[in-house]
Amino acid sequence: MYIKVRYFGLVYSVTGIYEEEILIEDGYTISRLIKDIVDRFEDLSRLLFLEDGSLNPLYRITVNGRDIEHLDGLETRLSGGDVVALIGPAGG
Amino acid sequence: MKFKLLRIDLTRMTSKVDELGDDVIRKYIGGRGLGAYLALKEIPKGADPFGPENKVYILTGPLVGTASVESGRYHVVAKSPLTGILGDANSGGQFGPWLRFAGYDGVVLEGKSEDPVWISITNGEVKFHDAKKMWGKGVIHTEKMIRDEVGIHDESIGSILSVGPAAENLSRIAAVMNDKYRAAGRAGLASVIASKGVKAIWAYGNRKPTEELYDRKGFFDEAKKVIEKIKNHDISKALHQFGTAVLVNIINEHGAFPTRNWQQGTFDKAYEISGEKLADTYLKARKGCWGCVILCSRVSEVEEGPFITPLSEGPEYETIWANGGTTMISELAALVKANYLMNDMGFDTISFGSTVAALMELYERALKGELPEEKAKELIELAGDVNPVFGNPHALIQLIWMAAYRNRIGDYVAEGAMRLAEYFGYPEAAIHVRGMELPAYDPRGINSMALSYATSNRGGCHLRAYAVSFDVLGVPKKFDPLVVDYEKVELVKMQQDYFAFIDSVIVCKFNTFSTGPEDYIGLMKTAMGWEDYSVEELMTTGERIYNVERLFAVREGHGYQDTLPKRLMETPLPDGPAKGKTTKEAIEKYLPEYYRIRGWSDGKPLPETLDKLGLQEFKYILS
Repeated sequence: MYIKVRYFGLVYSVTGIYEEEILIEDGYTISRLIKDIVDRFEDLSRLLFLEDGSLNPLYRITVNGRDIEHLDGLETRLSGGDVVALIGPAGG
Repeated sequence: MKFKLLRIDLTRMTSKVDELGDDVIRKYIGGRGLGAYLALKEIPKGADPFGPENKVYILTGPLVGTASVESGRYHVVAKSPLTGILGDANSGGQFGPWLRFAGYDGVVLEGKSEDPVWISITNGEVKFHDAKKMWGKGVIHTEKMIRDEVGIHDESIGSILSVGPAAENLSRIAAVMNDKYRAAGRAGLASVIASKGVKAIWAYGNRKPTEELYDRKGFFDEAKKVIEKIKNHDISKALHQFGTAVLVNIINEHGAFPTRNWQQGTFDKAYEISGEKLADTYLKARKGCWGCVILCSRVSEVEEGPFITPLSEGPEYETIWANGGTTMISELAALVKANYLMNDMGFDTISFGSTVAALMELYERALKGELPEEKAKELIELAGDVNPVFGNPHALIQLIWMAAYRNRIGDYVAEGAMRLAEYFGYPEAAIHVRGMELPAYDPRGINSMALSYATSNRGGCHLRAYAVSFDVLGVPKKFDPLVVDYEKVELVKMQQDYFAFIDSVIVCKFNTFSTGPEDYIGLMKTAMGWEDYSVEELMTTGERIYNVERLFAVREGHGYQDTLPKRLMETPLPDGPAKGKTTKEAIEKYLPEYYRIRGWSDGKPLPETLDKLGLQEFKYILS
């Protein structure tokens, strides 16, 4: 099954792609997704993570428009058809 | 430091200078706060916004033009022709600092000139010039004519504030423009300036505000600390890279991107008009206001095609949304062009796009037979071949000209969404608070914004409290945008008060992502010599300003009722993560708590609140 992953703002600056489809298996989590993406785009690591290894709170992750902080955090499980967004810092 | 206020009497073509001391400045600072205070004292109740009794306060603040703390700004305050209550608007660019360099910290336009004039302020000297040849010209042409006359063509030297044809024709959604592309956009205040016969103000001089600082060295030490915080913050870096338009995708993803005139919360073509797309296509450079280290402004150009547009600033997130998302126009080039034309004609891009979206809904309903028969017929006739349907970029562009010169249906667009929708018999199509069109965040998907919008003193506005920061962006901490949480009420009030100070001192609101009230204490002590200045006093000052603004509405007898449009209160969002949500629960739960912590009752400050804030001179308004 596939999910869509979108990259916004400074994350887009690194990936250079706005949206892609990724094949996932049962039990696939946000934590795993982040690892897989960082493996492909190494520069994302210094953006997404603070020195202590925690997620930079100015970078947000949503699943179907809901911030993972209001779901199960990094352990949020993904299903086919989900839309994940990795969102860089923003203001307006 | 004395606040040098230049009062210009357009009726008599005279000017004089008031010097305001700490008795006023320590309570109201400058900019928005001082403007609100003076307006409440000096503009009579019931004044006609276009009458000589209305006044326009064009004010800087004590930090403007001093150092790179994002202080290249000014504020405009007057009774608004759009809302009928106090209106205010803020702009960046170069004009604020140059007004100070020219010798004055603020200008008040009073009375009314019989003939159009432009005013030059040069090293303290004020001159009136015939502006008949400029009347009817766009902002860009006007600036060129003035620079030709003063003989200074280097645009980094001196600055011009002007109004466009929209204001000359008394559009209620006309923006005060400066430096060609910067706008004190909201509340239609440009038309108040035009109603006084003023086309433009030129400001130039050699005054150095930094030499008037109480402790110059100490100030620069403090400023350096603040600059470092701003410059190194991730949000500042993101604003530099993508500008405010980076929000298009983000807010759309959260289902709070008002689409089809607030009938949907997501736009399936959002990416096509996003900051990322802009960076990959028409973006040519990045630019900042005077003394800015962020450089969030876009410089764009469309080199070919039907929407060819010369190199110019913008568009911002709000402009893209109002003219793109809510109108469902997905051609980014068209939005770049529309932005350029709206700036040249001198329109508030938020109100203009929102009004066009309301027109598109009205037109659609007219065609479906959902408007009163006579009104539908009239609307279709007035629209002629414009074809104002959702998604039509050519209609948007045509309407800019038509509204600026009040041609046919443009005459109604120039009045703003509320009056347009009321005239054509379907008020629900206008999404506004106190008559001012709402900006680019649907509060059904970001519920703190429901309270922020409803209690915004100047009407529909995201800059009184930017609750998006904590409901979406996670600054200073993350809240769930769909869950009612009373802690957010305190945060909304805190932001409203803090931002009132920010608009008065005046620095850029983008500072507030990386700095807090505590960062301005050292600056105020060293700038003003207020050795005992504290965070508590700063916040009380902001609260005082917020109450003075509210008192203006209370005195007018309208505009203090805090609510949201029927559509947002009663019609659930049909799509996206906020599907099924309205603002009803948020408003019903948040407002009583908000009034409790504000010391207000039914939208009016209580007498004891005025006592606490040192506003006894205005207690008469409550009796």
